[in-house]
This record gives sequence, C-alpha cells and structure tokens, in this order.
Amino acid sequence: MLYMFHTRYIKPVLIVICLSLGVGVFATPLFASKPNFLLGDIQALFSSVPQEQQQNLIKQNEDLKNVLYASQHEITFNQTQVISAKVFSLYPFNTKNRLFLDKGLGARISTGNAVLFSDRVLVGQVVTVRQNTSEVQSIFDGNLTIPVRMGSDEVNGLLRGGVNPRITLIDKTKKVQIGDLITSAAKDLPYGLTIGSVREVHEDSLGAFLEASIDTPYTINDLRTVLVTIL
Amino acid sequence: MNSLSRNELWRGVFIFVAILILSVASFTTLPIKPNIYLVAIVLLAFVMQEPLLYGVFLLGVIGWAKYTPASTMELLVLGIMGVVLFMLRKGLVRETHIVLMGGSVLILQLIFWGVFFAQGIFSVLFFMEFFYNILALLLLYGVWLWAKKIFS
Repeated sequence: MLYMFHTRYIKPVLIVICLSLGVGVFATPLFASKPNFLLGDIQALFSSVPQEQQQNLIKQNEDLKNVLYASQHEITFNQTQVISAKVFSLYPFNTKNRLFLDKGLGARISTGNAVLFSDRVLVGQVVTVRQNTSEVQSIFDGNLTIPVRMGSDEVNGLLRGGVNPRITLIDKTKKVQIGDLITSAAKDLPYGLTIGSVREVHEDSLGAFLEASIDTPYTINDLRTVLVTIL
Repeated sequence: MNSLSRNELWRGVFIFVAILILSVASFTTLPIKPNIYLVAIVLLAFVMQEPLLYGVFLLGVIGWAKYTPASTMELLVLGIMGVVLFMLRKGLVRETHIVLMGGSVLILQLIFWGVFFAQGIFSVLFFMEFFYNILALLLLYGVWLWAKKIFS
C-alpha cells in the first residue's frame, strides 16, 4: 500500500520539489553560507597564536609600515570615515575575484568606495551596491587596474589584477627593489594606501618595461572582516 | 516511477552529497579552483535518465552554488547550459562515456568563460581550471560508479 502511494505520487512530488527549488534559487534572498574546512583547521592546529590574534598583528604591522612610509613622503590622509563590514561570501568561479559584504546602501556604502584589510591596506573597490549587500572587486580580479607608486623614489607603475597581481609599465631607468612598499595613486581612491610589497622584479615580455610581482599581507580566502571608506 | 528510477534517485542523492563535500573542501593552497558546479552539471546530465530527477538535482546544485542573496547571471547561465546539455545528451547520446563528458566540460567551460571573462580564455588560468575540472570529473565519476554498484 505504502509502495503504491510512493509510485503514484512521486512524480508530482518531484515537480513540486523542482518548482520550490527554482523559486528558492532565483526568487528568494536565501543562500547557504558554505563552511571552509580542511586546510584552515589544519593550519590552526599547528599555530601557537590564535588565527584572529595573528591577523590583528599583521594588520597592526602593515599599518605601522604605512604610517612610516606616509610620514617619510609627506602623505596626509584625508579625514575619511570607515565602517566595518563582514565578508559573507567569495565569488566561487575563476572568471572574477569578488567579495560580498553584508552592508550596502543602508550603511552609506556607494560604488567606488575603497575596501581595506586594516586602516591603511587596500583590498579592493566597491563595484555594485544593493540595499544590504555590496560587491567588491579585489586586487586579484583580472579586470582591475590601479596606478601605483613604489618605494622611496615613488616610482610609477600600473597594478594589473589577477590570480597573481603584478605591477606593469615600470620605467626601466628607475630603481625598484624587492620589499619596496606599493601604494595606491588612483584619483578615485585615497592616496597612499598600501597594496603590498615588491616580491620580484623582471623585464616584461617585450623588454620595454619592468614588471614586478606582489606580496600581499593577507590571503583573500581568509578575510572575514574588512573596512569600507565612506566619503 | 519504476525500480530503475528509484535506484537512480538514491545514486543521485549519493553523488549530490559527494558534490557538496567536494565544493566546501578548501582549495586555499591553489590559486585556481576547479568549477565543481559545472563539473557536477555535466556529470549529472550524462548519468541521469529521468528528466525530473535531473531537474531536481540541477536546481539543487545551483541552489548550493548560490553565493549572494540575489540570483546572479552566472547561476542562470549554468542552469541553461545544464538543461541544454541534458536535452542534447538525451537526443544524441545513448551511452555514458568519460571522453564525451570531458569534451562537454571543455565546451561548457568555454561558454562560461566566453560570457564572463572572454579575454581569459587563452590564459594559463583557463587551462589550469580545465585540468582541475577533469580531475574533479574523474573523482565524481568514480563515486558515481561506486554508487551504481551499491544501488543496483
């Protein structure tokens, strides 16, 4: 009897499941926040310092480096207000590199705002804002380009985003050293924000300019909280 | 629904759980991650016979892939590609073959990248993703064969 019930109604039940899943996926704001397990937990096992404390130390260190750099180069930061936002998900495909934040228009975030790892370290820029969420194009996104300056001589370059972001169009006559601080010089971002440091310098494929690879003080997958500037 | 589809349902649930586990496994050590959702859609399109069951699992995969409160073009494109692939497979292919699945992964990946990041198609990124996708496909296909043995 029970078997008869199952066989008779299973198709309509599947149709109902199909329809509700369709509505759930495309017409509701519901989504599953996925855990990121395995490697994070394994790393935590071998670390004597709690992960959060470790990240705070990195942030403080990077901020201090930037303060020193700014004082040496007479950079003064405009009074910008920042708010903290939680990263609730990452873009899951390789075609873009985006972060999704839990604050949007309601928190006065707007397109073009800088997104920071700490007070002075740039992560990316807000590209789409909704009422309660916003989408951030990170420096690891293949479509991002930002003018930058490097080192004590403030050498010009162009940051090209990607899985391995790099600084391109560096004048061959200028001196860029490994470990030089890379700072933002874009007109729509606060001047002098740290992007990372120079890891390696080499000639580009045409031999006309120099290119540099970057070390960033954070891993994009580990970001949980970021700061957003509000102008 | 006959016993064949009943077994198909259980196999589908089995493979769906494997997809969920694989999708939350952390790939932080790799700069490029496989597109598990695309691989899942291809595998399910080739191994499922019942259109309704495929519909349920396809929406399940897309629902799980959803990464923002709003629905996105990426998920819509994945859904459309899944439906078209299933219809083509039903109409043209009688047997499941891993080479056909691999070919479908490549074509779907080309379409996906063509729509969302066309300038990246000839990059190392694309080829590395394809390589990882094939590895993921082989892994999931192995799980499917195992499920077939259990629920036969």
